[in-house]
Amino acid sequence: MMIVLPRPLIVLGGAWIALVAISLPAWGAADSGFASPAGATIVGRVIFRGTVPPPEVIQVTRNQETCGASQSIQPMIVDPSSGGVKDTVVSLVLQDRPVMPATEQSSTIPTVTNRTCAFHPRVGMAKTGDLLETRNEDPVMHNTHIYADNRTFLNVALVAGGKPVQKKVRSPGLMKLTCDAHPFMHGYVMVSDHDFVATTDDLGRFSIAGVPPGKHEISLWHETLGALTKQVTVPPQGELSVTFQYP
Amino acid sequence: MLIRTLVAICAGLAMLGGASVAQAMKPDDNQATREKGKQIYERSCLFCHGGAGKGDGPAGWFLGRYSAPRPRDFTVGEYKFRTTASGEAPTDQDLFRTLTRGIPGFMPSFAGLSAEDRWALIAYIKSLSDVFRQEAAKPLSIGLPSIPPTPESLETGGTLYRSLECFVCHGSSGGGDGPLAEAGSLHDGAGLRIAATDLTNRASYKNGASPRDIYRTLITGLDGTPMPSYAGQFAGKEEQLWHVVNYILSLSPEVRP
Repeated sequence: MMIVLPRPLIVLGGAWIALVAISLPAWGAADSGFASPAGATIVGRVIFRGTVPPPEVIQVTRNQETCGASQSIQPMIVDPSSGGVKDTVVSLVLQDRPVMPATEQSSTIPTVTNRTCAFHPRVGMAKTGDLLETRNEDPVMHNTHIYADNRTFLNVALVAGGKPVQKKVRSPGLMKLTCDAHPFMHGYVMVSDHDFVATTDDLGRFSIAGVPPGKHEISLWHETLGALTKQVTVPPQGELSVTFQYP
Repeated sequence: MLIRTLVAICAGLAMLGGASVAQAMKPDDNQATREKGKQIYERSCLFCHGGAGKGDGPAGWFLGRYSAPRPRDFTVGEYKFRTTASGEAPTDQDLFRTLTRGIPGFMPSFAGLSAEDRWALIAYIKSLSDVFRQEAAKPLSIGLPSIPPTPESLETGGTLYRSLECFVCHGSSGGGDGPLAEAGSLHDGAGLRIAATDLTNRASYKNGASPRDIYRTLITGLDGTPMPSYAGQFAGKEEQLWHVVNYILSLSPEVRP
């Protein structure tokens, strides 16, 4: 038996279904165009309470006109008033992953730029499936040599005024960058297979939106301060505030 | 002149014929082949590359204890001599070429093994790394014919040699004595100090010293060493690389005894 509904009711029902569909949780939809993704937002800070060691000063022997007479290498960038630590990678370790967003390529291309004989950013992020780009803005030759799991992921010459080079990222994990032409240059790219990852800003702050509810582990990585983990229970909506402290 | 051309054609045909015959001898990559390869490995390779293929055999330890190159660690899946892009796994043919030629100054040629045995060995070596199960090796094209080493070509090549900053490692005269090499700043992936190739001595060209060999080295780079790939910088103007090849070869005039 077929039930025939009045036309206004069908229109109303259709509108209701559409409303429900767009309000369903879209986990990992941080860059999917939604103004406020479903799920909670984890906001937090990473701080360091201790004495920051002095930077390592390396005398530059080649390309001084571009690289300077010396390079001051300081991986620990700590805000003096708040203790916030820059360039810490904050990543969610998902227990139950509702979807696998990593199959989609990001709309932006993660890029590492060689500028004044340093990698910018020094600590970057990429997602599996992304094209990772490396480019050179210096008037001297660099080679971006990227290792992943002790194996060369990419080693390309970037001559002055040359073309940027892109390569697809396949596996999650930490990639190490160096330049054999300027051995004091070091950088990192953390590759994730999901969107729930962030790096801390100048004040040590981070924010990860659209996090599915439940018990999760937050994992931290910093070049010199190492790893930290914390278990959190994420609510269905709203904000969860977390503070990490090294050491 | 005519005789020289005929000899070159015959040599080319012989090489092509040799490659085809070797290819025809390639057995299926199955358990029996890998088992056979393992037996050959334990007889011929173990002393340098180690029982588990980690490059830590008893002789290898002494070879690469303090400086590069250490014998290859087959479990990592990183290879210097490839036709594939930087960071990619080599093709079977790449491994066959290295095994057949050897590496001047470091690894003997295993051309004494039958082609079938060499393929079996390759099947076993590939089984030691997941890389070969995860990645499909795609060789880069070296389709363009080489350019004759005219004075103009050598001049263009010399200009490129300087603008590409090859001299930083290999030296202004190609003697492997560039400022980075002299400063001891060059290291391999294991952190071992590594020398830049002396381009004035063809016997030290580990990836071969024919024009195609040098072209291949320039576009693929040598993974695990500071030598980068220049493929991206020459995309769309690949013919210029032949000028660099000509210039590099001009640094080591062939000496006939």
